[in-house]
Amino acid sequence: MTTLVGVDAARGRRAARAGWWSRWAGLAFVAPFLVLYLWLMIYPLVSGVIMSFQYKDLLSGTSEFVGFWNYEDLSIDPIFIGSIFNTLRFVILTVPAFVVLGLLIALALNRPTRGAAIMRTLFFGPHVLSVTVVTLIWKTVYLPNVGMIDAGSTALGLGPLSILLNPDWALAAVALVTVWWSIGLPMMLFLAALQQVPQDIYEAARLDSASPLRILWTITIPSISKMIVLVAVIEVVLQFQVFGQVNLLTGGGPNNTTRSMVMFIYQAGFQQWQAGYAAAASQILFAIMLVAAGLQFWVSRKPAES
Amino acid sequence: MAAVDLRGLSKAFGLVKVLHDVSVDIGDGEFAVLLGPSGCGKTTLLRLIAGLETLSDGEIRIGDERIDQLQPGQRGIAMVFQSYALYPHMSVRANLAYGLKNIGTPANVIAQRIDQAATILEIEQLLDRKPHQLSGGQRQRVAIGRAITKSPKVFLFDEPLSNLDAALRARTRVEISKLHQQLGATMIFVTHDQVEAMTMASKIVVMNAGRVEQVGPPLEVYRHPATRFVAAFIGTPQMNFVPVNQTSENGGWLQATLKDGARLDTRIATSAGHASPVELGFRPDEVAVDPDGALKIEVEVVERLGDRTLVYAHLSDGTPIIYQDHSDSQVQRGDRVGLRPHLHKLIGFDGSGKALHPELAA
Amino acid sequence: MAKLDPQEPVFSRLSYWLVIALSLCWLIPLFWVLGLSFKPNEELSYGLGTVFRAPYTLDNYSDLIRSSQLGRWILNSVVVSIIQTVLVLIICSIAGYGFARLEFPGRRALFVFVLIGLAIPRQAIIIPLHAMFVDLDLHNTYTGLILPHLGTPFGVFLMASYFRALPRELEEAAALDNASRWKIFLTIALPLSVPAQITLAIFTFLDAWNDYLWPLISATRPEMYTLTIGLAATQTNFDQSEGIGYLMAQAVFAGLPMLILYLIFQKYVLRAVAGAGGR
Repeated sequence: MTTLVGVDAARGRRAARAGWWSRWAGLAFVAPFLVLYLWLMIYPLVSGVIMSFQYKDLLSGTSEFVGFWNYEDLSIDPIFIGSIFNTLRFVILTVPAFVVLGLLIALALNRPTRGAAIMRTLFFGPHVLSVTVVTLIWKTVYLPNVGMIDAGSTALGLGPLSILLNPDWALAAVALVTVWWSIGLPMMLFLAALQQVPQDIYEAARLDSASPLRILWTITIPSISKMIVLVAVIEVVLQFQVFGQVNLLTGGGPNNTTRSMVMFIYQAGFQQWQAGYAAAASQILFAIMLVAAGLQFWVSRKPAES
Repeated sequence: MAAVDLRGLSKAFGLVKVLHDVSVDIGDGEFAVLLGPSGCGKTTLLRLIAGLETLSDGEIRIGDERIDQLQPGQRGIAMVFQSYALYPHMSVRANLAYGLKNIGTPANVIAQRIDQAATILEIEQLLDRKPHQLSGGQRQRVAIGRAITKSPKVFLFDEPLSNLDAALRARTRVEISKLHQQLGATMIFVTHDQVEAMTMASKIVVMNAGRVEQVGPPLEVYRHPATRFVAAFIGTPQMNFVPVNQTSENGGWLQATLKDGARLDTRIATSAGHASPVELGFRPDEVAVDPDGALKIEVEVVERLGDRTLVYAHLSDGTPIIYQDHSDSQVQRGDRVGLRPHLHKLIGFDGSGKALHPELAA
Repeated sequence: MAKLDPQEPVFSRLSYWLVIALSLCWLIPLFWVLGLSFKPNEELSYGLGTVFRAPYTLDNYSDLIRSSQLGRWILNSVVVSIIQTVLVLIICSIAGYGFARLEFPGRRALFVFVLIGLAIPRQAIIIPLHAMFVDLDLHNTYTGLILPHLGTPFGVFLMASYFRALPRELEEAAALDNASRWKIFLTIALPLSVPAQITLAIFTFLDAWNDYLWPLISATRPEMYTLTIGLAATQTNFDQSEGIGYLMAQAVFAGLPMLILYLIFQKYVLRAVAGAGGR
């Protein structure tokens, strides 16, 4: 019996070691990522906050603590305030278009035909192009006098519109490019949601002799209402970060009407080398994004049925 | 030597205790069935033996070896899962070989073991298919094959028949029994289906709410249920339970008075000193139709099954009664019938649910 | 192509034809650019309308291959995108599995901590990140272009939710088959996660290939430009450049490979996008 107990004890120790290993083995799996995450996300995030309270000139390399000075400056900087409003306007221009147009295209293409598949591929296609290719394409469309739009408007007797040089229209022109570029995302998300709607609901509705429009309003839309909200929130988050299109198409002009928040940060940080000032602007952008992300989390958490 | 010895097993998930001090001895080569309703802890018990859950208390031995601290793979067991858990990206052959490869078994031995298992289960022609190309029954065979190739000391089955259709289930029951005889290995089989338990087990472990209610061979569990729970859980149709209003003695035997005043004689000894029963139980086939019988019932539904007739009725106080009649029975809905339970089959149940058994007929 | 059910309601048919019309509008800019890229630059200076008539030429493309750094930029983009994709797949699969299936002290709290990272926009950390990389002397290197993307939690989140949805019994069966934790991951969980790997690979590759802001800041020497940045550099002085035909040939040259890749893998790309939204 004693030997048995002895064996058990030895085994117990070995098991305890195995237990210790299995307790921490999981941490070994996540450690590489955690190191990168801490180093490349969290540390910059924290040092960005600190930087926003500093006067930091990257060219001269000077830095000193200045409290809320950067934030106070931002609050009276007409260009920064303007960039917030431009970004908001841009979001208001694009997000409803993404939701409504994306939904309409998805509704029309939610069928198992080959033609629908081809068009799905087509609408999503521009999404794989980089922003610089997209702007290169659209620059020739918008080119003053000789571009496609101006050639058309001249032919119609309206004369050249030079949209990108027009303070009233430049941002809308950028929004149009953006919709062309990434309508595929909301379309696919809506299609995915539409395919989740059980077919028998439609069949039941047809047996109840509901008209197609009534089915759309009373069955389809309510069934995917969660996705509609989710798409709206996702697009708000994405479009708040608009940068490439405006930087390449208009450079923030004409008359600062298209300068976005990210573009402001980029220019403050990497053209004027005012890192502290740019970092402070980043924090304000981050705060806005946090609200939107919180909204997204809240929406995706909510059960589909009310 | 592959007896399985469970001593004082307890398991809690957080604050919820799902097993309370479970002790069961399963002999070498025995076919033990863990039987109980869903949520009774039978699957948890199986997973504790497999090492997929850790014990809160107690110990598990296989043969002379204590295994509850070992990794699942080192316990000398194989398990057939309810979902079969075949590796979907591997061929049947690779599924069977996986466990052996992991312990460095030489390739020729692996091939030999796979051939053996495939022959036993008649799955030779399936070896190069993927699991998704197999029917439910074939998958089930492969899952058993995967267990066989490891030549484990103990086989564990977690409701492996529940995903099969009725006909296949009946056939597979017979095959698993044959396999058990062929291999002579210890098998532990979890199910909620009493037919599986009755037909396959050499020992049934009836569980309820994390406790063992009774351990015994199938017929013993059927004939001498230790508790009201076991009596009610085993047997279809279910045992009848009649509430007892008052008890008295009649020649050394207990006599029960029912709510409607009817008196039932029993062969439960009053001298045994146990508590008096609050209920009497008898099985639907342990009763005679007799106009003078103590139980007066009114018939509600008659099921004619061909070889016999099942009659669903109730006492005047509403207590439901099911009894079995011969196949030519003329009984009809609305009939009033008298029943006389067999004297030696009437079982009493006391307030705690413990069974009071009658003396065996001489 | 568009075979229509005669039973179909007018409303549905109408919407279908409207979408066909809209899809043609979507194509126009692409064909416009393609056409321009085959036009001699001198002729285009009289007006872009000349695109509708001959002569056409391949000169723009041959100029492109002979004179520009486009080849180098494409190489940079390919190297950066592929290495980044492979590293993200490896790191996120391992970490996702750890969070999904392994028990260790503080797992829940750590996962929440990582999820918070989903809400951090890259723009919010780009200033300090730039300063960090200056100190480490990593700008104008492949490492400098790749590293910032390796800390993003999206992949971990994606893989963790996929691993969590795999049937647990498979891994339990493997444990009973004497497989170690690492072996279970490598031989069972990882092969079964291929659909999620494809999704993550597509997102990562697209993100790396199309990234604009970070390479714009980090790669300042033309030989380290990615394709995206290289093309951006050529179009800043759009009007005074070598000519619109030449620029459009660049656009085609840069965009076409992605479009072809997309057409080949469209099934996976569209499935990935649709699937990611379901989460």
